[in-house]
Amino acid sequence: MKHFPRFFRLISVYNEECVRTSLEKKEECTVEILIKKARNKDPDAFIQLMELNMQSMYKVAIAYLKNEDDAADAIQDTILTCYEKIDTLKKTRFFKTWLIRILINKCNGIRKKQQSHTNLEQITEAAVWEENYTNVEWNELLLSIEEKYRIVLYLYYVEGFKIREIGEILEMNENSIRTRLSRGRKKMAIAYGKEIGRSNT
Amino acid sequence: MNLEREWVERLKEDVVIPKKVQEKTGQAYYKIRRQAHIDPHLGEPKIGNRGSYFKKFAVGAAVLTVVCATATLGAKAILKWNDDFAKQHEVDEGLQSKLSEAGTTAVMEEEQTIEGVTVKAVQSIASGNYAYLMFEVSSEKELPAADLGAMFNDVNAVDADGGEISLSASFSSEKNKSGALIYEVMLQSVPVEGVSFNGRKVTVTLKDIVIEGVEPTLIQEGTWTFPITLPEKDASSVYELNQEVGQSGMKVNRVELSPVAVTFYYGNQSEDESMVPLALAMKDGSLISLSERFNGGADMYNTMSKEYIVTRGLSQFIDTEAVEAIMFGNLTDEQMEDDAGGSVPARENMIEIKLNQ
Repeated sequence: MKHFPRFFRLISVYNEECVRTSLEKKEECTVEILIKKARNKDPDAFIQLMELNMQSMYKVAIAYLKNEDDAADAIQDTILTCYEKIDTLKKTRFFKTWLIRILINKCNGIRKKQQSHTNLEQITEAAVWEENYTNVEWNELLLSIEEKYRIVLYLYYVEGFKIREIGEILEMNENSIRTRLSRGRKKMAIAYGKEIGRSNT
Repeated sequence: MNLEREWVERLKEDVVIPKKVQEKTGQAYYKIRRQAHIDPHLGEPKIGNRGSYFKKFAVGAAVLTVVCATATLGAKAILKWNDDFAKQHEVDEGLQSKLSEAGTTAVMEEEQTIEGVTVKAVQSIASGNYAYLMFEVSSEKELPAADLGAMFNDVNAVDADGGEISLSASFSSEKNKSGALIYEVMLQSVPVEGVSFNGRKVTVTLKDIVIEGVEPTLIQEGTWTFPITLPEKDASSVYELNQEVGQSGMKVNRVELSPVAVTFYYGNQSEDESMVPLALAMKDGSLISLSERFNGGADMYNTMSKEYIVTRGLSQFIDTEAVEAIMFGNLTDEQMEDDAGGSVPARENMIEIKLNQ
């Protein structure tokens, strides 16, 4: 909203899709300003933007790579690529979709390299999260279901992406995303139920 | 709290960013700062990926040519509404006549064609701080399916002084009978007494049709500009209420109803944020859900009058004289999270504030 008389203080503006709380909208405004500055290669704004998204980047990278060292590499590469290419981002509202897509490409790249050295069949999905890693409980919950489900589940429920956006990030059609969401929900319910059972005994 | 919500909450919890991740990001930040210091203009703007649609449509089109620009100043008011406009806003024939006769709406016949793509301004309606403008986009060439996410890459509206007007805009999800895409722009301004869109001259500029996405796909380059005089008559009415909404502690000073928007002036900001206006109770006994009818808006605080103002555009236009009361109520968490909204509790479970017309 522009050109407010001085005696008006704007609390929030809604567009046709969003009816959210004032606080969320304020955060969106801040992020939009940061993105615009970052597009003009303002390093401080860009770094602030990355830090705001660090939780998301870390969680997505772990969900993909299940390994802190690899996640750190993927995030580092993502930050550098994003800074190099942020001036090509046309619409600020697609920033997060764009960022996560780059991160997932980086994760895929790291995994491909690993595959050339490792016989993947030897790696089971139920990878053991090492005790000396951080966030053990969080990781155990997320990693308790297969990757194809956990990524979709995470992007939908935690990051709040729409099915169409997830399709764009993962380069998959929307029906597949819907199916994975539905199955993933059931699997997560079972996994979470088991976890509760364990913690109660 | 159900199990699903529990695990979602667990996954949403902040985690500790491990030291090794922090070290790697720190290295990246150092590199970026150093690079910015050496070359602050690193990375000149690049030309985006134009994608397949552009290739299909723009072969041989090296120069943008305005083939036909027949935009005329002003709007011609006639009683026959544009079918798409009436359908989009669920306006029956009775209300069409009423709003036309009131001078709140105008049918337009202004069009511009760029490389075979014609954008035509078809109808406008303005009342107080809201105005809607509908455009029709047609082409001799194939246009993308409406549900593909077509959009103008840049849309802006300015008033006669060059001041930028706040707006939201989108294509409808279906093509009309003649195969054209329908595009609508909603203009919105701050509700200040005496300030209204009615009779104002605005210029709307629509630039480049694209398919939205992280990297938008360009369908047609071009800038379509429409100088438009908005309809003169404001059909909004103000109702002094000065009533508290139930026991919420929230006092509604007044409500301004127009065919296209509703604005609430509260004496205080409610502590109970779930207590919201849910519906308009009509004199014929029907309820119009506001939660699904809201079509953009803003929340403001007037530091002079100390009023908290909530204003919302209505996607379904209304006959203000047919409104009997505003219904307020509590929304459950699930209802608040539901994007589609629209569900209204039974009338007896809401708090009614009559408009005393």
